[in-house]
Amino acid sequence: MSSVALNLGIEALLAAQTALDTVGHNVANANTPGYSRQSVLLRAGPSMRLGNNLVGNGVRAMDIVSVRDLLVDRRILTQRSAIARLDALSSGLSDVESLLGEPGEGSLSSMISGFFSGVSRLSANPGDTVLRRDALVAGSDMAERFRSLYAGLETLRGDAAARVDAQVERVNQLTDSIATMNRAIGATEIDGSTANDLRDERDELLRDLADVVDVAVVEREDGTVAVTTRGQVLVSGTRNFEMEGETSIAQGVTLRIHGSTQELEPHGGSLGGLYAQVRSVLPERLQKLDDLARSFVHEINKAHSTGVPGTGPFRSLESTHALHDVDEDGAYDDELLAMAGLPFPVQDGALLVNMTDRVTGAVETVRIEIDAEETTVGDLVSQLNAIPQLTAVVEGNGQLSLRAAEGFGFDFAARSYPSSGAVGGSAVAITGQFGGDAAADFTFRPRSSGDVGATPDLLVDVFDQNGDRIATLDVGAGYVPGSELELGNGLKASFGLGTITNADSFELHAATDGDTADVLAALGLNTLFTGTGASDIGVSERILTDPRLFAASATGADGDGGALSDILAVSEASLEALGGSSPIQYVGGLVAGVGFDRASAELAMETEQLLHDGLVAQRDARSAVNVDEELVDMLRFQQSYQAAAQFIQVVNGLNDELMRLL
Amino acid sequence: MNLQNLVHALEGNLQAELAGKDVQIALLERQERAIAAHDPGALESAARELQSELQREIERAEKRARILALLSQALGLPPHPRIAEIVQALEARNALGLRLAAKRAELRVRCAEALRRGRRLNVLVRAHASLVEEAFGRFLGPDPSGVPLGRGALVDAEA
Repeated sequence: MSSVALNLGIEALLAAQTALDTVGHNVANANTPGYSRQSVLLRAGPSMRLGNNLVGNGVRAMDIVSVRDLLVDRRILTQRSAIARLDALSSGLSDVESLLGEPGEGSLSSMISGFFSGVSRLSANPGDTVLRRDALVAGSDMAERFRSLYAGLETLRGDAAARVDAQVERVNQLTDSIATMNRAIGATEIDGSTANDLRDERDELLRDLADVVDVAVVEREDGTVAVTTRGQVLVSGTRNFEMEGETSIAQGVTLRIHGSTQELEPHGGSLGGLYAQVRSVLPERLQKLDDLARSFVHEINKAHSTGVPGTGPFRSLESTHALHDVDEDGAYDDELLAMAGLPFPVQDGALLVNMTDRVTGAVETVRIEIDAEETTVGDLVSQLNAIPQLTAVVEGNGQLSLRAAEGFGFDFAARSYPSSGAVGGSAVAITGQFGGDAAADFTFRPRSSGDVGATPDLLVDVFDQNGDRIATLDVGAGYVPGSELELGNGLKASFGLGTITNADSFELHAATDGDTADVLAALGLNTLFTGTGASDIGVSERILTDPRLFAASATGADGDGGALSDILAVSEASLEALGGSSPIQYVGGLVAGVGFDRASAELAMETEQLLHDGLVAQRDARSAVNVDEELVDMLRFQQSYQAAAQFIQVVNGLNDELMRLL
Repeated sequence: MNLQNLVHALEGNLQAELAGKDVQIALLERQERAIAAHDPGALESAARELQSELQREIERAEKRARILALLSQALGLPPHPRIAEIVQALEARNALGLRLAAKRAELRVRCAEALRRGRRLNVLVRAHASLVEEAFGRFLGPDPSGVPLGRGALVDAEA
């Protein structure tokens, strides 16, 4: 019986040692991230049969188990991935916001406004060279801002791509460690025990991995875990599969698991956030900025290209955008104009070429029809060359050169043409700038016959293309030949001495746009802005050098700023390429979009953080070490043992003494 | 007090001591069970009861010392005799020492049992106490002063 009693004591001591070891372990790891509180499973030892009696065999520590909830642990992983992704996204969007710097003095919207303000001031005095230079400098500053923003966004994208590489490296380190831990856990648990600390360590690695990329974790019977991301295996048993990143200019970065041909698109974790930045967030912003710059260049250039510079009609002009020999047959002529590699579209319409005799001031307007599906480069060049006193050549580098004969000049203003003609024997002259909403054709038709300025009630009706009479001009008795009569919409007509009959007529074409085919903007002829997007937008060096070349006039007349009105109209125009927004509205939308996305990401992150904290609290309620609790337990043991030890000393002393006495 | 009364007093004292030893052994058993069950409350409670029992034992020991002093004087024995010597001296005179001898033998057995349990418990308690000390050590780390924890070391309140 005494040996049984001794065994009881040894078992108890061993059990207590295990329990206290566990308490100490818990306390020592109270601050270890991811540590799960361990507890000792105590079981009564198997009873021993002595004769007819079953005798208890004390207490035994059966196992040390981690107090954990696997479901909560897995959900925490998911939350951590979501938070890390949103954090990376929010951080990236915050960088974009800082870069945009809206609203602010140097912001893009203020630069665009500055350019239009400069043009507006110039429109009050179009001939003022200082105002011309101011407007051009404002345009140049705005272009510089476009370029710096684009470069800044490109840099952010490059930085994010580099960080993706670093995160890929981190994923590979972690999956390697997890595979190693799998090996160690498998080896330790082969005897049926539980490798709690190794599992805690592996869980911590899994949490670290979830911070980097969204993962799904499945535990197997042998204690190892399989880790996948977006359906592709990262860890299986004791083996990890490396993630590989490939950086390219087009896509930024492409991810794959080694040996897999399927592209990996991480969604969660910091890698997911950075990947989204590289693949969508920043490219979208770059595209929007580029769209804005491109639309800006195109619209302003369309307005400017039909204007007349302060130096008057051009003697020569060279396109800034080269035509391309798309079929590589060594010739440009056979290329369709709309498909000749020009950066901006050519559409169906007409180009007006006004040839001015510099000596007489007489203007001859020629209309060149453009059919986007039929007109070739050769057709255009031929029609240009068909204009008297004008030579058109496609240079070897694809640039189109126009040159007027000596004493002549040309422009592409929206003039009414012909500017002169005759009704019967009376010479007709048309002046003024047509202010109608759309191009119109007018027909002058006398009601009766007679002599201009002499025959009473000699009336000339003017009909529009619909046959509606828009004006009736009294050129009979009382009319002073050569004096101007109002046609409406800014046009005036004067009649010279002569006889007219009701069988005579005169056709007048009133244009609102000298280039409805947009061929000038596509070719870069008489354009204000160079470049085709945010990365290369700039003000024409030719115009910057000589501000008189700023085509402010719609007619070439002194003090006329008609073309500036067209440029100013762009500031508030609803541009189709910008989804119906004006440039300023589009910038506002771009900035607000970034701000909204960032705020949304931060709000979502707060929500996810709350969920995460709730899950952690739930986990900690089960798993975390409460140091106070553990210490109180230990203190109670310590005090009890100290008291017991003192009394036992006395008991033993007294018993020793009594034995000696007996 | 005559010799007869002194012998009866000693018998009564040994009888009380036998009962005390039973209580003591029971309390030692309770403490051992408390340790096995990791129940510091039960250990503390048993220890407190043991403290009261020890107080009574000390009182019995003092009374016994007085009785033995008088008996040694009455029997002409040297001071501080062992009970075995008293029994031997009484047996030499008459049959007065027979019951006393039986009580002495019985008490020796109980005392040996209490002593065994006490020593065993002492080992257990010390072993457990050292484990607790070790657990504290793991939590708090080594004390730079080198003074063992819980033995009067002053704790720097600012530390």
